Amino acid sequence: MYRYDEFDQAFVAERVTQFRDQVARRLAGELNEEQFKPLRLQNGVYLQLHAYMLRVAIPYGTLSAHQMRKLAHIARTYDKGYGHFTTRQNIQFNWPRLDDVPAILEELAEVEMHAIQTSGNCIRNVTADHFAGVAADEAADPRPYAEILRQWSSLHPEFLFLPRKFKIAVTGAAHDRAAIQFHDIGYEVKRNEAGELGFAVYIGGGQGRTPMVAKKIRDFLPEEDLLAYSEAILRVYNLHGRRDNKYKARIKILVFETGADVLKEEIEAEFTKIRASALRLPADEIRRIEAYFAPPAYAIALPGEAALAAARQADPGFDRWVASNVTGHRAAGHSIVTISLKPIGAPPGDATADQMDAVADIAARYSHDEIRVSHEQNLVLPHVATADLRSVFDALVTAGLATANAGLITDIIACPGLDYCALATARSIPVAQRISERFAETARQADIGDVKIKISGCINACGHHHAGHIGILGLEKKGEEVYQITLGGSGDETASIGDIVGRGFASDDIVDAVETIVDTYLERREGADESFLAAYRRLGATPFKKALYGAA
Amino acid sequence: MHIITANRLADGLVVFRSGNGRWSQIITSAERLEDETAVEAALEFALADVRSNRVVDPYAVEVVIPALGKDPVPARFRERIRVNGPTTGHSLARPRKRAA
Amino acid sequence: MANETARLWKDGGFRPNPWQDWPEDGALEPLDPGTDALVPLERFVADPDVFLARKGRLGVRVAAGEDVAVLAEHLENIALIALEFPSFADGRNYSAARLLRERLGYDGEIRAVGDVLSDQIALMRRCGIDAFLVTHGPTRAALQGGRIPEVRHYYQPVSGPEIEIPAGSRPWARQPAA
Repeated sequence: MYRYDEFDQAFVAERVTQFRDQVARRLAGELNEEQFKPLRLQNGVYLQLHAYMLRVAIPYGTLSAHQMRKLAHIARTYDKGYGHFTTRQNIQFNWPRLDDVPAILEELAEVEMHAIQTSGNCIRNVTADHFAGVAADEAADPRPYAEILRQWSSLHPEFLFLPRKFKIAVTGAAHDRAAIQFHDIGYEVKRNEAGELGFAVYIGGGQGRTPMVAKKIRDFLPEEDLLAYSEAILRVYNLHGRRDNKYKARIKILVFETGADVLKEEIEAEFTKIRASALRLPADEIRRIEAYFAPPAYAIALPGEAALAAARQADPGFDRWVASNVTGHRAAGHSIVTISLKPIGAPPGDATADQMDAVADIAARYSHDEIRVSHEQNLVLPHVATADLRSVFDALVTAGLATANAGLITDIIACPGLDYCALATARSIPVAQRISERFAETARQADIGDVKIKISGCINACGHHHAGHIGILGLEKKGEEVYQITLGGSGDETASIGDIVGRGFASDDIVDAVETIVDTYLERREGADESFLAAYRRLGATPFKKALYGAA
Repeated sequence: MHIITANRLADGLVVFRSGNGRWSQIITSAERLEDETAVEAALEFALADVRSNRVVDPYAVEVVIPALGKDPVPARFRERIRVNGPTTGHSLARPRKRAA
Repeated sequence: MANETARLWKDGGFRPNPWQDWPEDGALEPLDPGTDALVPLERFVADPDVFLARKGRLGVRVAAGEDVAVLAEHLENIALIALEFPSFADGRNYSAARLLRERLGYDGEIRAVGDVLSDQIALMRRCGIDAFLVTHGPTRAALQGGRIPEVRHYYQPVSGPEIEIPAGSRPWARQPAA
């Protein structure tokens, strides 16, 4: 894991001092709300429906047991005993007092964490594949690059007042678990024919009210040019992105209105001018950052497969959990464990302080101290010895964290929606809760297989509904919540935007509608091997429309 | 009928303006404003409290009184959630350790 | 505007501001030939020779979103470039300032004009802006009182080639100049 050096520590400490002063000036009335708002947003503080909300950055979703314990402590001391892990690999606290926020930030700084640029019209927390460094299918660990981007973008003086927010994601694998094509910039780490490391570059992806899949503007950018190219993209966007309408201010609109080819030329022209500058990354510096992310010293050739098979056979509950929540690891004798934060009927992504402590303990004992947050709002233990899986499972059962549904239909993404969010038009979490209860039965979930349901409580699409195999968008019509369904979206390397299937459903009818869609898939699929997405792509929307609305 | 609501500056919690100019977390004491003139006058007072940094984002909420002696209930469901808290049946939540 | 003179912050203090805005076309009273004139970029570019031939000094006023590269061939005759910030949230001219300093090598005064928060002053300085004519009262008070918030550890080399990046540190990170 990356560790702060003195420079990083001093930087964050100064920022905390600065924000403490800003809060004091606000409370003393020297700053009014209009002046304070952009400052608090750049430190992750929102005013939501019920209270302030603090969003803490978890850079590229990687954190240590020690850091997780601090998050638990903050939840317990300054909030109501829980936190919410988000689709951008961050954590949100829903009830902090404004006058406590400087103290919270100070506590975070003690464990090398901060809330810098988790909101506002600036470069946001850089996200990465949650299986980075341990995935079997990876060209290289994307996190060193994400860390370099984090540093470069932190309080970048030129890019703190962009037309709109700006999100960067990095993946190191051809199979995209980081949804890079739905980001303002997506970098895919890859090797060229000569075996050199570099990036495929995508720009202009995004969701919101105008969903767009990103355009690839570079098939291979040399590793050393990462920052120069990023700066060129940001400068072109800062100068030319629209500022007349906040709904048309993201770079995706600039790409769309200018044309990807023309914009690419502008970016390349700018890049050519700044390429040979201090932004060019020396290889030894990259390797130095990379060393922080070196794999832990795994015990060699641990036995475990035979014992695991026996344990699975003896306990169907354990067997189901291994089937859905355990993923193959790059190192022999090891496994990646997904900790589902989607217990049946619970709010997706929430964890109590006690659960955070439990995960920290388990990670310290069984996962070389390391935890990941996935954009699917789950936690990941990246370095578990296969021989320890049973012990990990038992510990998770005790903590109420052993739900065996990772990647299944009840592993639902949902934004906070109208239960917490000041912008929302409808609730999302209760819909997720009811769908989860409807499909609770484990054998049925296993039969249905890989279906990603994603729910947003307004058109801003924080619940990624456009990228859901089944997407649900909550709106308000005539004072009632109405839910619009999209089908066939996907956030992986075959990225696509879901098709709106027809008129929306009342809150009482939305769960039935989802069940109708799932039943239609089960009837029409060519076999258990054909996933929902594959079946939808083969069949198109028609059979689903017919099932939902009758023959029309 | 309307009441005036806002968030308290220091802790962000939802508060309602009572007839004596206080801001309370309890809706029972919220001043019930019968007409537009009364709403406008109350909002003026609320904006003064914004300028003196007690509350932020005040606005008027339409309410009904379901029965004599009962608390006002907002007409829109958004405002009902804002008054009553999340509807997620959150078994996790407990009071903040640090109170006002 | 009489109080303009009191609002220009430069070289560590409020200074008199001798610059006068170029009047709109067709104005009854054109500026005296010897006056220091601040000319809108568009107006200047349409007819540079008119302004270059004047006796007084030449300044150019750049609206947010205008391309400063068109000034390249005239920079040595321009004593002041005023970058407009119509709202503190409009960050376009941060880029313009860096382009002027780092790419075009401009070494005259770059002045931020408009809506600037005190928390933005340090960022603007790093982009090469060295004078401030700001509308926001608390920002002027902060300048006067020496209370400009700043994080003095930087992760980006931005101020041009003259500031050396210390050996052994991340090249994209450096301490501020002492």
